[in-house]
Amino acid sequence: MNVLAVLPHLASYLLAPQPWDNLELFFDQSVAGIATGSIYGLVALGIVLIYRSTDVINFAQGELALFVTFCGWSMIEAGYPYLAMFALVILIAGGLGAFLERTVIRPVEGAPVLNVVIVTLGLFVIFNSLTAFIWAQGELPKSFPATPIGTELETFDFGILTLQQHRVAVIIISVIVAACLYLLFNRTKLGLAMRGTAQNRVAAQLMGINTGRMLMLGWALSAMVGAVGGMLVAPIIFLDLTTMLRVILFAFAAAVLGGLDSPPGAMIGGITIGITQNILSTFALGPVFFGPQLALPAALLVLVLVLLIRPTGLFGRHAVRRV
Amino acid sequence: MLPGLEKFYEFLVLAALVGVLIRYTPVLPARWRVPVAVIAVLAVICYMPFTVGTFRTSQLTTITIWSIVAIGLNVLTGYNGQISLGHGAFVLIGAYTAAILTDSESQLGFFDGAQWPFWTAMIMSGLVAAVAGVAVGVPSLRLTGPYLAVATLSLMIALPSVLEKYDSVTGGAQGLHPRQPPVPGFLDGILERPEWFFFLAFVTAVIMAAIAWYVVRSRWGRAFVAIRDTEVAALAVGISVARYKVLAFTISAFFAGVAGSLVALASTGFVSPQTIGIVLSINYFTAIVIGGLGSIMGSIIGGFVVVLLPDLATDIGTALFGEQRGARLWPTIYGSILILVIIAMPYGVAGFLHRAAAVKPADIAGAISRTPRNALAYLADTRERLTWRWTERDGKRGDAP
Amino acid sequence: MIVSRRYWLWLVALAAVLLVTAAACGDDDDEEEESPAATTAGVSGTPSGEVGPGVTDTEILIGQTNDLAGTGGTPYGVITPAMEAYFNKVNEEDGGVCDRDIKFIAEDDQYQPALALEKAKKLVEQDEVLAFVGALGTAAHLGAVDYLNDPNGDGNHDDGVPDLFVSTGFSGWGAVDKWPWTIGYIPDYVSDAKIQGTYINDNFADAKIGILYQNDAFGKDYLTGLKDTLTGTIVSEQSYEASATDISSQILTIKDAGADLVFLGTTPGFAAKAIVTAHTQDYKPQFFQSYVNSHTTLASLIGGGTTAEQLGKGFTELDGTIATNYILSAVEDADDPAMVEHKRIMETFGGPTVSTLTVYGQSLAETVVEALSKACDNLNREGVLAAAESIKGFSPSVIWPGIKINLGPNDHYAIQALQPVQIQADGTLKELGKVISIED
Repeated sequence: MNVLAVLPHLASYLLAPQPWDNLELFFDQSVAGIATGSIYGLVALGIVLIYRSTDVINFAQGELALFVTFCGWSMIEAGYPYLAMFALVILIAGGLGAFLERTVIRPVEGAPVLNVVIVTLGLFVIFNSLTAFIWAQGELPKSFPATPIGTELETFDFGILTLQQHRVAVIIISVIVAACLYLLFNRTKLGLAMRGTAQNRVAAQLMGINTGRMLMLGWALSAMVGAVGGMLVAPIIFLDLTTMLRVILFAFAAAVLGGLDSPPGAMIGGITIGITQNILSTFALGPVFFGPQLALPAALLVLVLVLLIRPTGLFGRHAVRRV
Repeated sequence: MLPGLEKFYEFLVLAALVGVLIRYTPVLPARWRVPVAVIAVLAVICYMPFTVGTFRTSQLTTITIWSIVAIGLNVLTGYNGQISLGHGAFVLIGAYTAAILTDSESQLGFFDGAQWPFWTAMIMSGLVAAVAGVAVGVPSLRLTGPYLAVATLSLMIALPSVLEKYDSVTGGAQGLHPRQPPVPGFLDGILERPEWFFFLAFVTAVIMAAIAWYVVRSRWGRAFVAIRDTEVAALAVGISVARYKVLAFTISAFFAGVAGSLVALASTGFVSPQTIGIVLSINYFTAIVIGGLGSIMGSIIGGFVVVLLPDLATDIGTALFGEQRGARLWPTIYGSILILVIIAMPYGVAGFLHRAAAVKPADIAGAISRTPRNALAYLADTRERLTWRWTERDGKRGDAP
Repeated sequence: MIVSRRYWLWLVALAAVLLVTAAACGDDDDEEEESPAATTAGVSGTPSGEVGPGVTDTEILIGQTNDLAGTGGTPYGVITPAMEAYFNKVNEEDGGVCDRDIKFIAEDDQYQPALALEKAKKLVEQDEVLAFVGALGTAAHLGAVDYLNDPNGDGNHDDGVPDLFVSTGFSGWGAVDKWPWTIGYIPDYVSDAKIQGTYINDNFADAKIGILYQNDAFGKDYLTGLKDTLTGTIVSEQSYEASATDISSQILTIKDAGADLVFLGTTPGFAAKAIVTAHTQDYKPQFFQSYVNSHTTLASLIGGGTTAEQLGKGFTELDGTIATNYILSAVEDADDPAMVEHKRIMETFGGPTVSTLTVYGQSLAETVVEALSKACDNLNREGVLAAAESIKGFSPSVIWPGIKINLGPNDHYAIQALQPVQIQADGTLKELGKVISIED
């Protein structure tokens, strides 16, 4: 290894394909990136939601979703129809979220914020282990059915654009979930109360809002969104013990990229990361300095660069410093 | 031997008790108590490698190394208020630096192939990690809280892929096998290999802890704390916030780098991109919060907790669920203990000990007599909250402010 | 009161210190009792050689590290109880090995190299196992292997611990001069690549070849093996991280390069993903894939479930894919007498639900028992290694018929033969020629 060894690298950089050399590939890669990115976005949405309503980053979000998705897998094995399973899993997730808020999060509410982080890390370990204990007996990964809209195998043809049916379903459901949440937060009294609680708890209490219940609701909602994310991801990357871990890391990146308090930002952040990953690994600097091997660091580098310019993400509100 | 307690744990209990004992010895002048207590505890720990067997000795080495990382991280998080979930990356950088520098084989084309003595390699590892710390610290100036946490975590996620990509230097996925330093001549015959590794790590840890102790009590340390408490006020009194924040990152990365070199040289003798994973990286953070933020003793306790708690959880699991299930369910118990500890000790074990020192027998009696009532009240409270009632307008109690 | 109330804590601590000191220092005599090796040497029974650590009159102690709780994200934890079930069967029905019961201890290494090393030290130094068997995971075991071959770190290998039948196909385990105490078990990935590469050379000489591999020791072994063997044109080499969520980018690039034959050096999830992605892009090359992918698992992943209809859908997509195989399947071969017996053992002796992994665990345990039973006259570490090296022509009952394990002092790869098969649309495997062995 010496300095001369860099020369062939430089040479192959100059010869590497550029986006304008192969527009079709560029286009295909972008579309594939959008589909993956929408999943990151959906899981990021759950993270943003809990952050907005409780000011906490929930590290257990992914494992909680994995746990309930495996519950869903068991229901499918037991012969439940898809829609019944979907509804039941969301209910279980909501109940579990509310239960956890009440039992383990509440006792650390007044404590330093890092303590809450530790509690969520503890929950992460617990749910990871329970999932492994209950479901890792047989072979992994396990398959998970796609929504009735369509599977991963079949495609919709829109002229030049060919999309896997399940990816379309992911995008549709993500939009529906985001829209529902938007309506909830911005058009209902309940949503107003939740936002108020997150912004200033004491003031909210003085206004007669039951803030404890709002926090519980925040956790329940976020667990439910996480569960939807889990059930949509599972048909794509299959169910094993690392399924959600692989997604959640990008989802964190997506949430931060979009701004931790902005639900639309989460979706946009997810899609940005999905596209960046694909494009950077295929083109330009790609094969030489990044290549598929470095697609992951490359996408994270983009994240950090964006944060340098906008420290609270693309759509996040700027924090106000008080003395 | 106490029933069910291994000798290793007996000595740990002994060390802790000796510390407490001397710390509160009535006849000793107050200013001597802490130093004497520290020396006594260190003495007990120094004796341990000669009696607890080689496996426990190497486990002690690991604990010592993790304590160094935790002390460094505590300077950053506990004293300066900046969160880093990616400190494993600095440890990994340190480990690779040490492995490459002490490797006698071809990887070292750059540096004439000469093999560095282990102690220069250790210092160099710290310095390389510190440079990386500056590189991370400067951009981190603009980030706070969760944004900083995720940015540092992404460093940890990204690093292994980078190490695998440039495998001509790093050995790729199969890693490097550095030559571990042999027992030096003047100690030959006195120390066995595992004991030598322990004392290498131990002496380093004592030096590093002393440095940290000095730093947090110096002007720098006071600036760190001022920035942590109120950044704007610190700025207003003329502290260069940016400089001190980067400084904290640098110091903390230096600690991690030195610890990393010990991982390569004194602990595993093998470095691969998987040596420090995301989980371990987050564990350092767990260690300082559980041990106690803003406390050097807390960091050391944290080191013990992250290494020994999984073993303890496995023992509990085996006792509760039988051998096979216990082996598979231990993380559940581990996680539960973490949660319980942080609920019971909001300021970590160190904070708990500080408060416990002020407790009088009457307080304990009082607490015991109150416990059933408190537990019942808590249960009733929880039950009420879990009942799904939406209408609160009829004058019933909401959550009291 | 003599002491003021403030010092009650001090008094309690003093009492405790005295107690613990007494306990810690007063029990130095129990160490000799615990060392089984010292007391049993030369006692009546089969052995004529000196008995090694971990062996008593009634027990042989062997150890393993594995990702037991799944913390490392692998599903392999289940292999350990499967092995234990088989050992229980040997102990209870066959009277043990060498008139002794096998005692099997497994430690959780969380799939981390540093912990694998720590647990190996515990098993060797504290529990004093006779041998290590079937350690799991390339990345993790790489952390422990140097130690097992040279526990005291003095640079020579005379004091190693037998590290038998490592459960990963990493090609390095057989490096006898570097790690003389280590023996690999499953066919190494380089050999698999070479067997399939030879098949491609013979039958698809003009193919334009694309390779997709996982960017770690596993995938890179495949890349190395293929590049050494293939004589045709390789038009694209793409890699992905094991932690990736999407590989469509790589598939698109391979498609764009015009490959008409794609080799998948991937784990099951990614193999399924690759085939689905290619087919939805109207890209239908001839797929080759690693033996780590069981075709039933792939079919259920592609089809979205395990009902007959979903599996059928999966097999339709898989139709024509060529792979290799060395072990019986828990699903298609369920009626094979060996599999019936396997099911009985797992159910009777507390094993887990039958799956490919339990079948694998039993094959491993059978090989371990074979090695131990050859070492009865010399039940120490050197003896066990020599016995393992002397295994010739042994076939565990659940291995693909015709595959034999042959080992020797310079041959530390156990299974080195594979059956090339082609997956059919009805879910059966068509054998392509005979079992191919690359012994020497």
